[in-house]
Amino acid sequence: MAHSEAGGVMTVEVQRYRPDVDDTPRLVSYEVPWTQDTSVLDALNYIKDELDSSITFRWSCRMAICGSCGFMLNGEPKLGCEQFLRTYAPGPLRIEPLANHAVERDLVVDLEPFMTKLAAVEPYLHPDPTGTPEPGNLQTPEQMTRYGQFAACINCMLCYAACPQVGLATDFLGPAAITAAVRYNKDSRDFGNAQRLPLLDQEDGLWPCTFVGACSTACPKGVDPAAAIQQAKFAATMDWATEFVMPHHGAPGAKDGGHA
Amino acid sequence: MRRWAGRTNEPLFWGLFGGGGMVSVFLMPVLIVIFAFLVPFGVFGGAEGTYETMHGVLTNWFVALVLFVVLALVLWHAAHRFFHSLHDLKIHPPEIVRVVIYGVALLAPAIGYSLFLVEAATS
Ligand code: SF4
Ligand code: FES
Repeated sequence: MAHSEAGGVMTVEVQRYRPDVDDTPRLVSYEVPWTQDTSVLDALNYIKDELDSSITFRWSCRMAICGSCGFMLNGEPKLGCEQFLRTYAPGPLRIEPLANHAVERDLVVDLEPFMTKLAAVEPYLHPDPTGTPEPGNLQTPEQMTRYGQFAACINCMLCYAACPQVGLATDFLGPAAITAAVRYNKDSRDFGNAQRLPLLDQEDGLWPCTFVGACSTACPKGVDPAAAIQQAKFAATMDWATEFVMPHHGAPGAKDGGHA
Repeated sequence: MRRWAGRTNEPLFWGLFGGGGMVSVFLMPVLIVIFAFLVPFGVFGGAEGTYETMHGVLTNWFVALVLFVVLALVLWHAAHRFFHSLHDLKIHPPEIVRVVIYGVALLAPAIGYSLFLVEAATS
């Protein structure tokens, strides 16, 4: 990361594309002045403010927490606000929309498929059907630690851009959605395992994953979705085995502390 | 067994795959080091008669059965990985290829153990 150059002017190539007008996407070069603290998002904002106001991209927080500024930077999925031009000196830097996603315009991709998958796993607490025993639904620090890492996801979709299986199987639930399911399955306050299992344990659920691990490499928040998916595979296998041995076992996946 | 749209037998396939992986990674290297190197090279004392002793133990029908099951898991692991690698390479062969790949993993140890039993009975 450390680079001796304190700044200069870098060629930044941005993929421009309006699907309804253009035949094909094309790279357009811009000359962007940069210093030690110019982020990739700053560079895009410079282009929009000073060079071409028609360029389109998403951003909000500028601090790697809203998850809206995911781009392919020289072919790798990264958060634009978290990366600095100095890393790519002397350039050129190529900015493209997230791989494996349909482009709506320039760097803006279609969020709908991901949102549908995320919503499908019911990523919210399913209360105890027998009633919440204690006011406040309390949890010990140990109980929180069991899912804490998976709760750090910011839904930036970098893992979807990194995963070769997402590219091969369009309907694959994908890293972040499976991780969200695991995050709630492992929450002591949640009782939704049985509802989530049919979504996970099916052909397009978690099984397209072959443990490539690209999702965990790409993740900017240390979530380790690959580990979550492995845990989900193990849990699904345990449920399958339990049902095989005890066909009338009822709803598997109750909170028994064993597999969740 | 409850059924729902798209439910597969993948948990069974993956479970055996995972078991085979554990065996390949943790158990087999240890067994190989102990029985292929340490024991024959006399690290635990006199290597005299090692082959005869090992042969005697391994030809016990139950020990042999366990050994074949362990090897079957390793073979299953390889078959499962191979089949999924085809998918990674964007090769989507007809169903028969899948049957053959997993069939080899199932039948090879079964036939091997049967041959062993026949051999043991006739010798
Ligand atoms: S798991 Fe990581 S890479 Fe994937 S959406 Fe969440 S924060 Fe982004
Ligand atoms: S702008 Fe919010 S994550 Fe980059």
